[in-house]
Amino acid sequence: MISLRKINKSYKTGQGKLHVLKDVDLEIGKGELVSIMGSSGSGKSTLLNILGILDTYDTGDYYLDNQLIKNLSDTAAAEYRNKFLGFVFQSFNLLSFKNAQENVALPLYYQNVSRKERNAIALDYLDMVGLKEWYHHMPNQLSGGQKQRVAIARALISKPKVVLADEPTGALDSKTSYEVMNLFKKVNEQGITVIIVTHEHDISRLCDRAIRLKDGVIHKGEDESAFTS
Amino acid sequence: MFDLDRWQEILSVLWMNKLRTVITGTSVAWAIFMMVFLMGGGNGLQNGVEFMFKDDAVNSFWIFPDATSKPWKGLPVGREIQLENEDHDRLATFEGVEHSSGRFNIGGSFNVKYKEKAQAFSVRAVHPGHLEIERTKMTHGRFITEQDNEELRKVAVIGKLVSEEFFASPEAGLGEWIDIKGGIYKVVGVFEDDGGDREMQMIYLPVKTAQMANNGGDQLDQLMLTVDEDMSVAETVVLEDKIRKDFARKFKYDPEDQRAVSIRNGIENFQRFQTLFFGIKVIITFTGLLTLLAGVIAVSNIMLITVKERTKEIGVKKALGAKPMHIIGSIIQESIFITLTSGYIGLVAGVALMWAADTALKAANMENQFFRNPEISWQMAVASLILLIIAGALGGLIPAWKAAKISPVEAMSA
Repeated sequence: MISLRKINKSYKTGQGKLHVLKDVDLEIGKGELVSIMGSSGSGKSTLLNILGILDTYDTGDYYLDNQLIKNLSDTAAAEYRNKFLGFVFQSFNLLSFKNAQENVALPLYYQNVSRKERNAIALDYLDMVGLKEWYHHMPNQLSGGQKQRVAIARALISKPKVVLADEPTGALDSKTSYEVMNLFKKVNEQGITVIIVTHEHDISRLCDRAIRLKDGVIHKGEDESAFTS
Repeated sequence: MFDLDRWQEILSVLWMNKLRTVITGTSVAWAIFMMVFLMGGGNGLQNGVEFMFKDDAVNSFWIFPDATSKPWKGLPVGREIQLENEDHDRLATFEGVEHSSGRFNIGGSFNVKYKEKAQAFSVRAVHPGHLEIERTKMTHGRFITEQDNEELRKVAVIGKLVSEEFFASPEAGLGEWIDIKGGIYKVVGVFEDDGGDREMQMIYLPVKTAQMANNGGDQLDQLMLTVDEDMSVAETVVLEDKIRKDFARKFKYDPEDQRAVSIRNGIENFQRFQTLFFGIKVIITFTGLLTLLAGVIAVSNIMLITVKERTKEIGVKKALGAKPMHIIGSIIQESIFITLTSGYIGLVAGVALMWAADTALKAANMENQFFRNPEISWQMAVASLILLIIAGALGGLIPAWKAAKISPVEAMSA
């Protein structure tokens, strides 16, 4: 599903260049539930942004569902994100002026699905995350866990091939965190590839596989304790 | 445009920033209000002046004798010029002259009497051509004719207000006899005039009859004429010059002497006013546009702030698949919405103020020759709304461009 070949990414800083990703090779198959682990500054967010076509890379090749993702226009990138990817963020990022249902329906709005149709679909997805009764609630009337479940429903509504989650449990207590992880597992069981960036080991342990990043390099088969922050 | 979600978003954002929205909107509303106010005021002035010209034919010359102001061939300065009937007859033969008339004023104060009623009305003794020059409108009977003058008939044509004062109806007045300074005149016509009440309190007599009855000899106090409608301004100036030279030859004064016989060229004056008002309109439009520009800059500025505040939200939308056009469209629509709504409020306020001013002027009977019917045309109103849409779009352009350029990564980490 995802294939990275010798991806390099550096940022310009005041003095010179900061080499964030160094010759990263990565294969993630269809239907995998993978965590990306690493301490802050390891490059895991950059990696996720490149996977999410939110950021560009300097050299190498990135294939998403056998499509080369390179030198895309803003419009094309938006289309790929909308079609292939679902995003879940640490801070939920729900739009404050839309209720739960409208927030979930938003990706379909960008696909020009009619309001009636997309709101009906959004209700099904809210049902799936157990929030059907809350469809008309505004984000500020929802708890953190509820917000994240709305966000997951939103990530799923466009039927993505890959769901990318950036510290999805970072702002949640442990009980809620497990509920959210169960939801990701449920999503994964439907055959959707799920990639979770986290620094929490117990979250990582619930995944099929952990990809460990340190100083922009992927480490394989090393002792977990080496990454304990 | 008719996207419910987008309107929901725009309205909720504006509602969340009520004060800011109102202040920004006020700058645009004020700009349009000022523009409407200035334009309407300018139109009011122009209407007033055009109304003043409407009283008399615009294509007219008014000729007044005075005294010489320059010496000429040994003749002294300060010689009084006296016009005569013969001058009028000669004037009528000039090429381009359409209608002409002299005026003889009956001196002294006197009352016009009918039976036991008496009132001080003004009297003008004129030639038949006066009808067209003064734009007198006959409603009953007839005006002064050539025969009246030739046969020295004792007839009078009276204004509507004179008729109302003396007679039960205009029809009843025709054929009645009125007393003007000891002379008895038969009423043969009743008229109206756009020049207002003063003109309709007027009585016209045949010029030669009045001269004879008042020891006027063949003296005239002034001459007036209209020229062919299709004469250009330049051609009228040539005619003016020809008349001045002719009079200078006859009365023996310097042709350069503008005082001896002054000629007021209505077309030239009208043209001058037209040019003046054109100039005023240009200045008003320019001022209005600059004021509007200030308003647009205010909107643009506030949209930049909005974009900055909503950077994260824009980033999220992009992550969810919003294309640049979605982002740009929404920002520009918001900008147009603020501009158009507040501009419309300004437009309505401006029109309402002018309507109030117009009503107040009419109610107080203050409509005069310098200011009347302040208004803007509906074309102007529609044009200014279109202008607002364009202005709003322009105001939103830079902020929208900035929003479209926001990188989702940086936006979401903000």
